[in-house]
Amino acid sequence: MREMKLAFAAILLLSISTIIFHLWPILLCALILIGTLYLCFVAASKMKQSGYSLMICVTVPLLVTLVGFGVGFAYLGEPFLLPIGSIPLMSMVIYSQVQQRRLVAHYQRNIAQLVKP
Amino acid sequence: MDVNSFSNQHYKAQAILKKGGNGQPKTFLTISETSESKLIVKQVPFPLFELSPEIQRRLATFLSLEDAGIIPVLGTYKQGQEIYLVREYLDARSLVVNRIFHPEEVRNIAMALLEVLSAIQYQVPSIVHGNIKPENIFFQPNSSQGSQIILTDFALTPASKWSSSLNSPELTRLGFVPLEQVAGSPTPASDNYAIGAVLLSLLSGTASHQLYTLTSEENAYQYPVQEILLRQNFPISSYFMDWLGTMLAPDEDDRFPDARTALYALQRIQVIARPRVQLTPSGIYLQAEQFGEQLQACIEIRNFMLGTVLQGQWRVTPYLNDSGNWIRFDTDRVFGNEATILLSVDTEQLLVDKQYVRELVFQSNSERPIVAVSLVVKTGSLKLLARPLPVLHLTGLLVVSGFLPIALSIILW
Repeated sequence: MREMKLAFAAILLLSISTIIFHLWPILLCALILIGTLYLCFVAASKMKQSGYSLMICVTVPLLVTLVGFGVGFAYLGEPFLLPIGSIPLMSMVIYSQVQQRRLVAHYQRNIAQLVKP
Repeated sequence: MDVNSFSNQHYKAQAILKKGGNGQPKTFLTISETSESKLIVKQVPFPLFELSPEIQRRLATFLSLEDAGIIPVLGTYKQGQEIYLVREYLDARSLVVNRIFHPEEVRNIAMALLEVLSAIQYQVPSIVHGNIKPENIFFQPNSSQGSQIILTDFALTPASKWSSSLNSPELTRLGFVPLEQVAGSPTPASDNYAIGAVLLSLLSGTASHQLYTLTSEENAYQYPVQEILLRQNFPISSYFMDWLGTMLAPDEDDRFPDARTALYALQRIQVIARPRVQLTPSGIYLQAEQFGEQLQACIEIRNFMLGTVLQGQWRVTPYLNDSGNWIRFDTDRVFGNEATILLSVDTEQLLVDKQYVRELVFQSNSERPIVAVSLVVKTGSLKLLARPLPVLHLTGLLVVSGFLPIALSIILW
């Protein structure tokens, strides 16, 4: 009876191992996806706490994810996705710089008309 | 009653004081040929068949009236189709004065009028004046009491219904006559309405013939008392406004029933009352983090004085060449005893990294007519606000998401 039990357990363990051996890429994929979504959510929450607008809080993590996908695909020899995420991300960085310069220019232009303390 | 009791006397007309016409009485200043005293003779067109016992009783009551606040009718006589009422000439000025009266003056006039009416209403038989308007109320200098209010020209037929087309003399009464009197059933409360209208005309400086223009559009017998009085600059208490509102209630049942009740109510109230205002906070400090930021703050206004209505206006005290147009209030006028004002500061019009100190002034009808609130604004720098990015999480996200295509490629193999 004892031998039978042991044999049954060995068969069960072998079966599970076989399933895991064959399905590990799917499990890994699911794990990465869950991790990506979790990090997206945490990054968006932290940005919101810092005072960014909702649109920025949603857009920046999504664009970073897209850049990550692009890098992954580029590693596999398919770089077509890389510009899709990185261009908007770069635009956002450049836009903030342009806005800063415009603000300074506007201030310098109107400084004579501004109210003195 | 002998309506011809004065018919044997002769009066020499000196001047026509009121033209009359259209069924309205004509008034003469006359000199009695027997006593050579000045008298007023009022000629009332009155067909004989209308001289009802009720009117005769009213004429008899006129002769019996005795009060310091009225000019007694000395006598009456009938001639042709007209009845003549003879009374003393009064060398005094009427309330028809082209100025706005102070609420305390108005209160004194109201008390004097109500006292006279109380005496008349409580005598037997009682009588309704029916013709109270500023033209029929006189001031007479009195050495002991300063001046005395005298009521004249009792209506001979206060109960007669009004014609649909109003003529000029009736127009001067319009606004002083309540609905029940127009309908032909005057009561002592009708005189209260007329007194209320007189007081309103004095407080607002409105001439008698224009008083009806103050009535509301919905109801020609209703006055928006509070609205009218708040337009004046006097700090009139809401108790007095309510009292006047009751005097002028369009519905007779909502009015004081007689002069004595109205007088009793008036004696207990304060006419002038100033609000007591408190502003929170008394000073405001605002700090901008970057250039162009819009800053906001709230100021709470409260009036602690019961029976008063706070009215005021905000303004910014000009400072050197600065008119202060970068400081705005969501509403600069305040009306009510509790309000919250939203103050907005536009730092786009200010220099960066500076401190601005300005004075906000609340000008109101309160005990302290001017209350100042200091405003200090510290402007921000030209740099855009540096908000921290969750760099660690974003890097992690970049790395983790980079593995997803690799994992997918393994599945697809």
